[in-house]
Amino acid sequence: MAVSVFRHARALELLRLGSGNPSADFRDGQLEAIQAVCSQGSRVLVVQKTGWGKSFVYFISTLLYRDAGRGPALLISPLLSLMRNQVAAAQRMGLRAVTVNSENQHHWQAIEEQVATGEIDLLLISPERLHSERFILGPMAGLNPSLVVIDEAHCISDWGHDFRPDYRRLGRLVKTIPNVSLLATTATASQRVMDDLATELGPSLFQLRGDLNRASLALQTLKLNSQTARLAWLASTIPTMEGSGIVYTLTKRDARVVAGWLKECGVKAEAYFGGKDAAERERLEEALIQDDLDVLVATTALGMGYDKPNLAYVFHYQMPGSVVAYYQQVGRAGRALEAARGVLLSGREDERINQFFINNAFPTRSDVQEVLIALDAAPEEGLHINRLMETINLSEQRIQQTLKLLSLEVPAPVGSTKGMWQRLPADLAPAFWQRVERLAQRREEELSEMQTFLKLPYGSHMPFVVRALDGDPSTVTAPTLAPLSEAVDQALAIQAAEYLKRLDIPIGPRQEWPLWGIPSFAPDRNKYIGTKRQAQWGRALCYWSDAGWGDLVEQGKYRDGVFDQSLVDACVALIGRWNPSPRPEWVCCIPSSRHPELVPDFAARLADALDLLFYAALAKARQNEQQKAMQNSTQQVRNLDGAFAVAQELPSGPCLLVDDMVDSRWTFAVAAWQLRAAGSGPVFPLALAQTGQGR
Amino acid sequence: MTLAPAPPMGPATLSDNTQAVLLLTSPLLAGGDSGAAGAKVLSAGEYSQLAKSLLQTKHQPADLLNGSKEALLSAAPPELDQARLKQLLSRGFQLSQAIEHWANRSITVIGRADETYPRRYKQRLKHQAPPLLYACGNPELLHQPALAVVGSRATTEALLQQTEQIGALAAAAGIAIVSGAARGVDEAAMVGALQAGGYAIGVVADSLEKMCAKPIWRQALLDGRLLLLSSDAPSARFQVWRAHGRNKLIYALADAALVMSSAKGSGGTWEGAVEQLTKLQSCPLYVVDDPRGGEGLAALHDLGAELWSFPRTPERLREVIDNQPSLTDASLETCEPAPAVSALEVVQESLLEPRPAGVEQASTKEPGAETNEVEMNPVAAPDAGEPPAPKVVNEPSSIELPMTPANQLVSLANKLLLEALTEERTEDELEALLGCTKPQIKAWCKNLVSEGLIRKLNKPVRYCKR
Repeated sequence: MAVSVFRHARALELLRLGSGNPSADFRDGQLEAIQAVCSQGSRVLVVQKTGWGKSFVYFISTLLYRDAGRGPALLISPLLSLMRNQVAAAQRMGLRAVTVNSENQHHWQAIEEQVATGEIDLLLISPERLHSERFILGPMAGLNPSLVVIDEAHCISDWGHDFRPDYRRLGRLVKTIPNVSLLATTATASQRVMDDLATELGPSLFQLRGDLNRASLALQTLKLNSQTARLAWLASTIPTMEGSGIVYTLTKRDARVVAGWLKECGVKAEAYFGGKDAAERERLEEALIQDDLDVLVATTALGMGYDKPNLAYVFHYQMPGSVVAYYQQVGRAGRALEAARGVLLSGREDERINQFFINNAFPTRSDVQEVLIALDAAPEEGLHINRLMETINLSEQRIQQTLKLLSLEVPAPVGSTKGMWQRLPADLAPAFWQRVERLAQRREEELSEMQTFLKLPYGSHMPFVVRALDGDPSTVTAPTLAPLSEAVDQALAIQAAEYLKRLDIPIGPRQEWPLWGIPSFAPDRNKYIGTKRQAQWGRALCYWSDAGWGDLVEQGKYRDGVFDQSLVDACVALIGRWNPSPRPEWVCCIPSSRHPELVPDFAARLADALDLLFYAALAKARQNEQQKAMQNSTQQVRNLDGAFAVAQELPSGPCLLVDDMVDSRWTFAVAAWQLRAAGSGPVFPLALAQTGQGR
Repeated sequence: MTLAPAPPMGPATLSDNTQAVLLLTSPLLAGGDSGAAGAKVLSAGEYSQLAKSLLQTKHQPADLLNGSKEALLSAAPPELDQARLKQLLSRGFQLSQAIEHWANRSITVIGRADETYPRRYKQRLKHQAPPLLYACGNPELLHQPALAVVGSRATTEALLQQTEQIGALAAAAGIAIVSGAARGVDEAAMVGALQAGGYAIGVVADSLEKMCAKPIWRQALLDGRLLLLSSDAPSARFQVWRAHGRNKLIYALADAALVMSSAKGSGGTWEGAVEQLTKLQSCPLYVVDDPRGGEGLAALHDLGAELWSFPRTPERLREVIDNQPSLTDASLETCEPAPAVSALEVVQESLLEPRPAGVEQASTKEPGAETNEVEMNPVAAPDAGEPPAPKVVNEPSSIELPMTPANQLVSLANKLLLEALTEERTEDELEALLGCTKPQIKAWCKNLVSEGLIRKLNKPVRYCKR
């Protein structure tokens, strides 16, 4: 007989304290869930929409355990922190909740002491950090929770809609947790995922599943191939919306582009994505909640758990890869509103971007082979990732991803101790590849389901979503709002096209050489590139193969063998807007042995148009590999080592350094270093197109 | 001998009893003997008390894993603090992390009820057989004929070459080498066997986790020709009492044992061999007749070790092994119960009740049986029917050796220092460890330095084993 710490009167008291409402009562299922969780050693799965109040279930359960003299709770969640409204509720209940994340490292020691003295009721940690050496071996391992809560539990299942590598380990952890209660929560789980979780979490699993329909949401899909049409639609529609909303994009750069456009159109918009620092992201989240912003243009980094009950709409600039992902994102709208909108715009590039995500979700067999071979030859203490980048021509990200996935296997063929990677005495099981293929296959199916969704007539979107998630479509009612106009304002579209032609993408200077990859021209082995040798901030005219100038650049490079004169004019205009200071006095360009005329010809014409001296001060000193074939910083810099020769005498004034493409920025960094060493003034890089980055 | 490669180790599924024993007695991923919030894990002796009280109410360790444990704990022996037991049992999440971590590192936990648990341990070590073993590699090797080869870390190159040849010969004879996987003789014997395509078992005194990741063992582990084994949690660091406890685990797996080199009167090799000759007698013990192996060899011969005849062919080596009156697998089969006994019974057999060799049947235990202690328990109560439980403070045995009390003290100090100095330590640390004055530490260390057994490092002054 399992012992329960449940006390009804106290649970209700806590709810009322937490909600700040002295007459509040439990929502459908909340009380049952708390009761189940309070039975010691229980296994509970709660599938409820965001906003249902899952946090009340684990807050109240935690405090009931604490009242009974039991241990604290551990909340494992990919979210960085509790949302502010949750923090407030916890504080009102007297719950001492603490987060351990990369942004509060300076507090870890204090947290470790609090863990030791039992002063913490709820510790919130990400799955990644949960598996870190510091957590496993350090004082925090002594937390000894009575209750473990796993958020976004659908990730445990291979049939879940998003893939988070560390959940693989969580899935194995939950199989054996004696004397601990387990609560798994998610907002969305298909029947298949539920079945999977029932297998993983044990036969005595208590399941609680709410309905999926969001009656207030009116869903609409709109195929608008060109970026300009979608930008125009957004610019004409958003000002007509009552209340603020979110526009989701698939990539960071699209978030920037769309936010920039909307701002230009007088909309209070900001871009939000993972690369921004936490304080800035928090500021933006708060600004939207306060309606200080009209719209946040975000990638999926603005993710699960973001709760603004009166969010009026969620628009998609591009199509997400799966119905569940779409449902989760659009589901942020209208939680506490009578009516709200979700409009999915879909463009020409969606397919390509989604396919890229699918193809890059997992390492290839040869990636894995290369990593294993490199580690087979490693010394006893193992290899740092920087050393691996010397021997393996794969991007740092790809090497990290490969190591990570391999190290999560049981038994694992590789493992790390204090940042040093070692080969372990186990081979990679064939099941690894079967699983990778299964997951990739699943992504393809989800994508094609999304294509079907896109073509549905108005009014049939919500039933489709509910059916896709194995919910009951008969509960779905017709949308209460009429569809939005699909018309695109042609004048706005032209304006958008012009906007895309003056993105003026900033190119930041490289400030440090890659560790252990220092080329011969930095013989002092100082990894810092002094400011007198760095490039200045530069610009790129457009994104490669994108709207704006992208098509014309591609045509010039691969079809005509010469860049169109309009690109010269565009660069002149760009430099006018940019106004680099001190103003360049001469033009130089990056030499190429594959296209010896292409860039010098363009640079010469540009110099002419700017009325500046063109001087080909750089020449190829040796035949090297194509820079774009180099996958990581170490390889990129080594490939450039000794590649250029500099003329003896240079103009001493500031230089405009021209190239067709920019990606890693190492070519500019190395060339600028050499030019400055040879006596040139400040070097301002200018590229026609930026490749890579975010796609 | 043909052996299938080790079966791929899937995610670990441990029996409830093994989980409970882990919660109560293992530091899990933490170092030392710390459990939860200052609660120390149970020593084997303490655990046996608890197991006995469980047995009296017809319960087993697994019953401590569910909701009814409160009542069980209140019936626990009064010597065991209930709060401490509760704290240990509250480590459920740590346990799951530990099992996952070990499985990830190809390390499995073998409980006494598991089929892979070496029968030789139950047979030969009885109540001292470790309740849990941590293993990486092919556990099938535990049931092969085996030759133990031991010696000190500092051994001449010529002797090491000879050791390797003995390893290679064992490989040709289908005999596994059992050793400690330490540098020197241990490694030479094992590498000799493995390079010749043979089999080896390393009973590890330092972190098993680290040992498993060493490149020299990788291919053999992958091929299923090597097993690395420890009775201590894999991440546990070196403890003074550990290396000694490890020695008897080496001998107890072997059909015969060979000492290649040994100091006299001190050091792990010496202590372990003397313990074998005078007390445990797990298997016949040989020494090589070679002065390069140190003064200990002749002294061990005086104590009864036979001289190694250097068999030249695999057949001759097999004769040496086969002619031993020790327990072979076949004889074990006849006198040992099938492994399908319940975990409780087996645990009881080891921890509650010493049984004379050859007594089978894991029958229900007499509740009043004498409690036995193993080496880590400082208040061991010697049992009438068994050799006294070895305790660190009693080592080496003063009965068998003609040593003055002064010599005994020096010998013990040397032993403890050498064990402690497998990693660098300062004089302050040694002072704290042995609880004696610094001048005394200095004097002992100076002596060991002059004997070439340890090195002195400066700034600050530290010592380290050579």
